Amino acid sequence: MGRDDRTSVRLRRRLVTAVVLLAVVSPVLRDRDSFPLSTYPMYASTRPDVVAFPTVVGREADGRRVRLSLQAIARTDDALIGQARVDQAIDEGRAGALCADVAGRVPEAVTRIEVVTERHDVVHLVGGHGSLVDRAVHATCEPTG
Amino acid sequence: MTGRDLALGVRIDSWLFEPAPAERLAVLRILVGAFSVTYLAVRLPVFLALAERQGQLDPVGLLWWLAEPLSSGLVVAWVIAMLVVGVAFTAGVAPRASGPCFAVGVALAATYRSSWGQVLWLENLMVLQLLIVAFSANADAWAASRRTERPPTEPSAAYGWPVRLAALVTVATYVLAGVTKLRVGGLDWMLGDTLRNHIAYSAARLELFGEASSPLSRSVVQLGSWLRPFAVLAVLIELAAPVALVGGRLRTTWTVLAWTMHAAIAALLFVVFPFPLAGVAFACFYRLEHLPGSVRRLPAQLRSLGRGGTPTNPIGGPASW
Repeated sequence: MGRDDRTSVRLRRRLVTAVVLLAVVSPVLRDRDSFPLSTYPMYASTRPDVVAFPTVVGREADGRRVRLSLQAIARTDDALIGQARVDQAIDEGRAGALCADVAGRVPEAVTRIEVVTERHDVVHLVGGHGSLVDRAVHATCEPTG
Repeated sequence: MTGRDLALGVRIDSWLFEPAPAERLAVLRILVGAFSVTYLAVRLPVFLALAERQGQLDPVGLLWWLAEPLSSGLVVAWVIAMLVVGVAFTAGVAPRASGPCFAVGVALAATYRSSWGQVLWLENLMVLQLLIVAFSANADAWAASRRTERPPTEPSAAYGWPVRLAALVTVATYVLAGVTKLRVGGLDWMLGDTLRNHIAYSAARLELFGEASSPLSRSVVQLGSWLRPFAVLAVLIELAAPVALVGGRLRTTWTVLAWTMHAAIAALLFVVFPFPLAGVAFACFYRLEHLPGSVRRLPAQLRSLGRGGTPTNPIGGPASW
């Protein structure tokens, strides 16, 4: 390989390095998260101690609340995905459709299903103390399973 | 341009284009390839479930143009094909085809997974390193395609540069994460109760979804403001990532701290970043050509330790790494 070839190869590698690095930092410059180029915003926001959680719960005949699993709610094992699906359904006015979808996957003892947003004091909740601040019900339905 | 600028340029060039043996890039190919194939295999149910996925498609990244969900058959065939091609890439079979196919295929599969309204951040670095390694001369050593005897290749920048580029990208992702915390959360992220609330939030979310949360999180949340120094430390670790490029003890100290941070996140939040936790994300900071020899010597080292000897060089030694 001659000197000119080596120089052109180096130049090309320098250019590729610059383009790749620019691409990697570009989401921050554009303030836009994507994949695989990202601003890496996970846990970046400040988090208050009282937080709203969209979720789906079951009720037994005596009114007792039953927490449903991620698999029952959103057919996933990832809490982030599960939360996003419930959140999306509520935001897009599809809470009833989500309720009907979950209705086929709940335990036998459940007689009613509710799509809700619950606001909790998360520090109290993790400490095992009363944490529910308020609660909004978006849709209700009965099990179909 | 001043003499100092020129000197800096020369130093950057000599670091970026430092000749390396083909084995360094080959070992990185094997590590990143084996990890990616294992990850795909372990998460196969999740990727196959994308075939049945219903709801609002919100395409991101390379799939921004996608208007409708992909057909079930295509998703299943794609994921299975990636497993097969991934094994070929890792083994160094038909590297010019298997590498780009596997890297682009995994990038697309992971992008499709993030195209349903929630971008996930667990696979970004794996995909970025895979793309860099796959499009380089990664199979000039330790490859099934080189079974016939050939003279060993000379050390070259062609083998060193991709590893250095992977290291630069890895460092950039950590710095970006730190910058985003300061940009979005401000100093409050470090000086307030944000870290405590994030830990409590993750545990609460799991409990409200009927799942078990980390048993450690309850005790740690009770530490309250004592957690603030750890919030400062977390941001400092991310912003200090460039020291890993210096090498030596600085690099190893940063790697251990970053790994510990991921281990703490996994233990407290039940959020696992598998690529760094497996150590593969940090492999590009090391002279990997020494790894096979170090692994071969490990049993003898352990036996020596058992007899009360001194471990001279358990992972290849600081001089060679």
